[in-house]
Amino acid sequence: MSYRPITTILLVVSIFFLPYWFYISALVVAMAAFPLYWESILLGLLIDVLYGERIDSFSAFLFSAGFLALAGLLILLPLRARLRSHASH
Amino acid sequence: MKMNYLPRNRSRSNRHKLVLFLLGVLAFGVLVFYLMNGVFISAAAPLWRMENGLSGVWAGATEIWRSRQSLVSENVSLKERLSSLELELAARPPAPEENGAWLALLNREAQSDGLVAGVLVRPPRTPYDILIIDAGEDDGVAAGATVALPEGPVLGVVSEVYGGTSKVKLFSSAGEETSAVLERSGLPVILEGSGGGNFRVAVPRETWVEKGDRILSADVFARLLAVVEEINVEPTDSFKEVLSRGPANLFNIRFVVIRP
Repeated sequence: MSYRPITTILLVVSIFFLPYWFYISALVVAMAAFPLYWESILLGLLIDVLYGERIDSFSAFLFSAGFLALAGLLILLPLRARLRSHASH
Repeated sequence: MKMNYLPRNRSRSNRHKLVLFLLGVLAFGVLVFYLMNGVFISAAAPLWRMENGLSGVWAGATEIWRSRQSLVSENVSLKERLSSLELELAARPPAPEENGAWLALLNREAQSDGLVAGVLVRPPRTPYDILIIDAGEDDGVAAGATVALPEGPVLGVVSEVYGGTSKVKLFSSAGEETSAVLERSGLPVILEGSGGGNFRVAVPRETWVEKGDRILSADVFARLLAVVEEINVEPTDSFKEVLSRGPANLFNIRFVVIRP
C-alpha cells in the first residue's frame, strides 16, 4: 500500500480527533509532498461540514477550507511542474 | 548542439485538464458533503462521546499509579473550580434587585432554567469558534436558541440542529457582530468577533473605558459577554479600539445551558 491512501486515512482520523493546527499543517504538507493531492479538496470540505457553518453566500464559500485547498493545489500546479522540469535535466 | 524545448501547447492543455479535474472534484465534494451534512456529524457523535468517556476513564485509571500526577490534576481541578466561581461572581447582574424590578416592569422573568448539554467538540479541534453539543432536535433544541455557561455568561446561539447533536456558533466567531452595552458608560456598542474567544469594539475616542470593564448583552437580562483586556488609541484616530475577551476559556468548556 502506498503512502498516499495511508496519509489520507490518517488525515481523516486527525480531523475527527486532533487539534486544527495539527491537521491543517499536515494537509498543507501532504499537498506539497504528493503530486496533485486532490484528496485535500475533499478533506477540506469534510472540515467545513464537520466544524464550519452552513455556507450561505459566495464570499463564505471563498473562505471555506475546500475552496482554499483547491486554490492551494492550483498554485502548486505550475510550481511543481517547474520543479520537476528542472530536476529532470 | 541539440536543444530540447518543452512542448508548451501540450503542457498547457494538460494543465487545463487538471484544473477541470480539480473543479470537478470540488463540485462533486460540495454536492455529496452538503447533501449529507447531518450524516457526518451524526456518525461522528458516538465516537466523540466514546472519546470523552474514555478520556475520563483513562484519567481516573492512571491517577492511582501517579501520586504526583494526581496532585497536579487536583490542583488543576481546584483552579478550574476557582475560575468557575470567579466567573460566577463576574457574571452577576448589574444590581440584582434593580434588575428584578426592571424585568417585572417589562413583564419578563429572569431566565434561570434551561437544558444542560455536554460539549462534544470545542476549539482547538474546530478551526472556527464553533461548539458541537450532545443535544439536538430529539431533546427539543431549536436553531437560534441561546447557549450560555452554567455560571451565566452567554456564549453564542445554536446555528444548526441535528437528531442528537447541535452546532453552536459562538459570538466570538470571526466577523460575527453582536449588540452589546459597555457597563461603565451604558454606551451601546457592536461586539465584533475576531476568533479564539476574542472581540473587537470601536468606540468614540472620548468614551471612558478601562481594562477589566464588563461588556453586557443588549437585552433586558444584561448578561456578561466579554471583559475589556486592551485599549488601542492612535493620536490621529477619532475612535479607539477596545480589545476584549470572552469570560470563559473555550478550550475547557464541558457543559453549556441552552435556553430558548
